[in-house]
Amino acid sequence: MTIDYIDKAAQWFCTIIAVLMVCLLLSLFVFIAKESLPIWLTEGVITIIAGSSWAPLTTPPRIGILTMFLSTLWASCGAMAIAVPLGICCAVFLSEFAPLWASFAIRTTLRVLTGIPSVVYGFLGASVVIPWYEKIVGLSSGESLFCASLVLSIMVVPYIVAGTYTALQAIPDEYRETGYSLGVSPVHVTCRILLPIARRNMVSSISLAFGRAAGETMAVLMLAGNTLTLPFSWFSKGEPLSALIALEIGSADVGSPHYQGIFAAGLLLLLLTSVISFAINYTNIRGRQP
Amino acid sequence: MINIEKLSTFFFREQVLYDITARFRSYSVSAIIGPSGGGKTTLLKSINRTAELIAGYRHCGKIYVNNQDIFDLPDGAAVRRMAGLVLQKPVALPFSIKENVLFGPRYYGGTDQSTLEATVEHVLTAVGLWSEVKDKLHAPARELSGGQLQRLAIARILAVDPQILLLDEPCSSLDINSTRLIEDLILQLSKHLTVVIVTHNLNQAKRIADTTYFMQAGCMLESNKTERLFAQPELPATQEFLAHF
Amino acid sequence: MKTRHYQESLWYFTFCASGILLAGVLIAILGLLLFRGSNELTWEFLTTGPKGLFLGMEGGIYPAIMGTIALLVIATSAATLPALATAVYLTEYSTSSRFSWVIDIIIRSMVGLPSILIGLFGYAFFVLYLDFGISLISGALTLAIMVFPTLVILMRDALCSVNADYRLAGLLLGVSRWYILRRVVLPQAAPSLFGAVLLAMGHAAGATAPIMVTAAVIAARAPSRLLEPVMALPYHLYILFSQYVSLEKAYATALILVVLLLTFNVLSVALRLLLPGKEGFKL
Repeated sequence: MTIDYIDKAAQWFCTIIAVLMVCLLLSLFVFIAKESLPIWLTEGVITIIAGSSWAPLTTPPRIGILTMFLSTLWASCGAMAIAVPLGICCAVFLSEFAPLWASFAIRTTLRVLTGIPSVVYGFLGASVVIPWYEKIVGLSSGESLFCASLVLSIMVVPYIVAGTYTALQAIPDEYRETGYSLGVSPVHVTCRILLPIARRNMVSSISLAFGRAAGETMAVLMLAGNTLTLPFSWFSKGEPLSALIALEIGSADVGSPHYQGIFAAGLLLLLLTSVISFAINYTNIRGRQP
Repeated sequence: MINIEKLSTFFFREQVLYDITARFRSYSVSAIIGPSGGGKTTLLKSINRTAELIAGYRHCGKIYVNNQDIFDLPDGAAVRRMAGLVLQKPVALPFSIKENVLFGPRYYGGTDQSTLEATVEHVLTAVGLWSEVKDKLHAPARELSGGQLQRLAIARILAVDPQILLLDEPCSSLDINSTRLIEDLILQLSKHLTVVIVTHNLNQAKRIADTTYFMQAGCMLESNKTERLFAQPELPATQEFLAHF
Repeated sequence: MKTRHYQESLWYFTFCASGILLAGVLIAILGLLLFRGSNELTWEFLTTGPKGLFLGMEGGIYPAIMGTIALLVIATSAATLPALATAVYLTEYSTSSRFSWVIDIIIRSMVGLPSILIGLFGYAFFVLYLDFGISLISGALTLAIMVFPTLVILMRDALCSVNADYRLAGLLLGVSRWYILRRVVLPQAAPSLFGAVLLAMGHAAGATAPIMVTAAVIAARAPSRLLEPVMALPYHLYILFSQYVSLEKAYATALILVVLLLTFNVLSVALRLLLPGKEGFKL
């Protein structure tokens, strides 16, 4: 039996590259944790996360990212509050009620929407949505976490629609037929039979959408107002974690508390998004029961 | 009494049923037999107006149930309630056994607790499941075996008080014992309902059907009292089909 | 039953309305961009650099276009081979299912990682630690890291959907996996693989946050050296707008960016549909 050297070489090559790349990805985590470690140790986890005062250049530097954390939560949870109902309703329409041509057209539309870069969303939000908002509410400065949520919701809704649509389509027709042959209407069948069955798969796409909303940078940079006061309501201005990092990393001295504070914010954002992402993937691969 | 007059159905451009004319007597069991793809399921689904929910379905002709053309009714849902359809592979709705049975009644506005519970006991007894499940009414329905599930499906339909029971090869995924139980149940139910059953099992047709109908390639070729159809089929197509078994 | 009827009609209306609403949003976006951006789309705009009192008020976006192209090309070149190797490892060569499961789940978890965090890593690693500075190479490598997980998953799907019978037939003839890969699997999967690369290019083209902190500046010449900073379309758009330089040119820049990305997407889908050799496709 001849040994195919090329095959063996290819195998080694691919294996090594795969392992290397995964190490590189993992080192991202490690790096961010490492660069922020000193400040976590000096100031303490609670002070940083619950501290509402961000003044890293004073002596002593005050590193409190509560404002940013709350801003991220307001913007992303707000976006989900809009996108989830809208997305589920739209997916139901596409899967159960729309004529085939309309379903195809709208799904293609949504796919195109995901291809639009976030900076364009931010730009359009700032040049169109905010002036409208200012006119309607009568403010002179419409930048707010609410406007950011509005635009974020449009950005993430295609993912929710796609996930819910796939989940609904995967349910065999027999469930629908069983409901119909009891004389029950399609709306009732959808709400009472199909959506409960699809729930697990829907949850994973919703979690993914949340991760994207929380990590989004450009749209919130241009829409949320970028102030350092605690956002007490959805309509306040704020500065999400992602915006903080984008705005200040360039000007921070390497190794300074400022620098470490920014990495601390990065770590928090990382944990927020990746823990959720990891958890969904884990439960999805593990619990593949209907 | 179901009276079908010159029913033709189409799926987009293709014709599926060709001028079907048939009469199904009340309070009896009618069996439809024939080779696969002959349109038997489409016929059942036309009677209960489920076929029209599929995109591309068109029909012409009439179906009279108790002298009323069912296509005249604007809402197919009422027809579906009146003519329940049992599928080949029973489906457990994602609820408990009790809620599966009550799915229809609750939709129609039943809220009185005692009436609902009485309904559950009544229909489960009628299908012979009561003694087996009365202690686990709140258990999820998907834990039931195939035969039990099929009887549950029938109970679900009985709970909305139908006049017609349509069954599409109800025993093809069941074992012999379950099949026998279902057949006994069908004979019982045929005393107050009109039962139409599509079956591939010719012995089953011989066992339970009063009248048998032979369909092939979308046409209703021959129908007669069961014993006579099997003993003396008139058309050569029927003879050929029966000869294979 | 009457109230149930009204309830259900209301739900039905809601379902329909949400579908139409979302379709309308896209049309509104594209329409707005076209309407307000097309005036500025002159030949001069596309081929000259920014000029004027505030840079960008007049002139064009040529360096930004070239900068984006340079970033794209280098980023995809850097990411494609490792991604392909990893995808091949996951589909063909992995010996321990446990190990490849771990790798798979790590990569999947990385797909949704916020791009700013990748930018943060790129800044600290390429710009500072490796001392590349704010430069084309820093930005391109950061973008490469950003698109790598998506590329792996798309390529893996492409490889997996090649008909399993081909592999089986090859194995039964006693040839090696590499031979089957080279002669059968890769050619069959090639359209989808190219489509995946195009999609990755699209992601890289539109990403602002990573390049904002590693490569992009407000004004630079067209890219000529790897270690120099560059201009890029998304960042230029951000500057044009947030610094109140020129709203009209911002619309035009946004239009170009969107057209560029849509082209990548459409080409990617078209590749998978038009080229022969694939049975069934997944959009």
